[in-house]
Amino acid sequence: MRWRVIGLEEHDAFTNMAIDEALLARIANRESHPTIRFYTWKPGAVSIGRFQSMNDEVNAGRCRELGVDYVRRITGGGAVYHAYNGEVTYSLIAPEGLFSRGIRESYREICSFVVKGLGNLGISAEFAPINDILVDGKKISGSAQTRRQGALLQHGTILYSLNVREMFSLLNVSRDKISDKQIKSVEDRVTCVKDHEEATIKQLYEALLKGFADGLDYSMGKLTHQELDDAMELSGSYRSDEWNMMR
Amino acid sequence: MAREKAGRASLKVPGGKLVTAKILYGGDIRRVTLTGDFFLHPEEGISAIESSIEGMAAGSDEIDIAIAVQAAIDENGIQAIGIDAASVARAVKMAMR
Repeated sequence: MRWRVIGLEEHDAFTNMAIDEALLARIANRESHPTIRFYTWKPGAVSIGRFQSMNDEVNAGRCRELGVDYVRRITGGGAVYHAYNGEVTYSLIAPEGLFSRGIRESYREICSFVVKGLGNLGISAEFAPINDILVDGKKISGSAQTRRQGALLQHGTILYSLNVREMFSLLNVSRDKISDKQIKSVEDRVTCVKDHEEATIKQLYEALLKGFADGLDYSMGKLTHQELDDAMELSGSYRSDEWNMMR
Repeated sequence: MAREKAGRASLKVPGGKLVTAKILYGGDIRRVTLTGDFFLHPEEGISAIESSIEGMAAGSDEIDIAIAVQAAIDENGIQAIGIDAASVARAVKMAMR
């Protein structure tokens, strides 16, 4: 099966989420090739999982002050701060028959591409069920998956740099947790590419691209006009309180 | 009619995810909202799980709540990852203590 790979792009949070959903629908209808895309978030954004409460998780006032967007994903999982130039996000959208029927096993399969990508940078990483990737026992990447009408979307982030104090200011972490001790505790559990290698974001992207695409029949491509139109239409709902504040 | 109360409780499932139950209840459980970083496939199955608990007596045993949740999971073909019927039932009971 021929794949399309869309190279590193930057979009705002609503557009990024809308593109993923638009591709999921097109690929479910067999109107688009299976696709792997890489992107960053501009401006930075907090995304929350499908079942999380925006009010519980996100300090919306602080986000507005700092010009950081916030958005609910269609995938489950936890809140993620996508700092501008602080991470690379991937999405893989394909007919679900190309991967294991079992969701847990398919996480392992797709995350193996990220593990390979980090390996290309000289970083030895391992998959940690349910949906994480660790380096030296610390989380460097998390992923989330949904399936609709026979197609699968998995997206995930790979941390390039980490600013725990900034992250805590955007998430609703209780004040007593924003102590130096708690920040140290997060730094003990989370790591990023810059902790291990002097790579640029572009080099991280290139390593990930190689990790995903090695052995794949693929060509580099772009979104079609129809896909972009679908995404533009969907992006409105990702901006809406009806969606973002639903829980 | 019993006075309506609100309660919430969070539970981290060992080896799994966090689930928070937000409950409005009086003599019976009137409204259930489940939040957390868990996964459900399909995601729309959350409504069936929440509805399965609504209407039960507030004094229901944890096991009865778990049976109702498991029935909703089975009847709707839901795959739950990071939580299960027992952890949802426990969070619901904790929210009403």
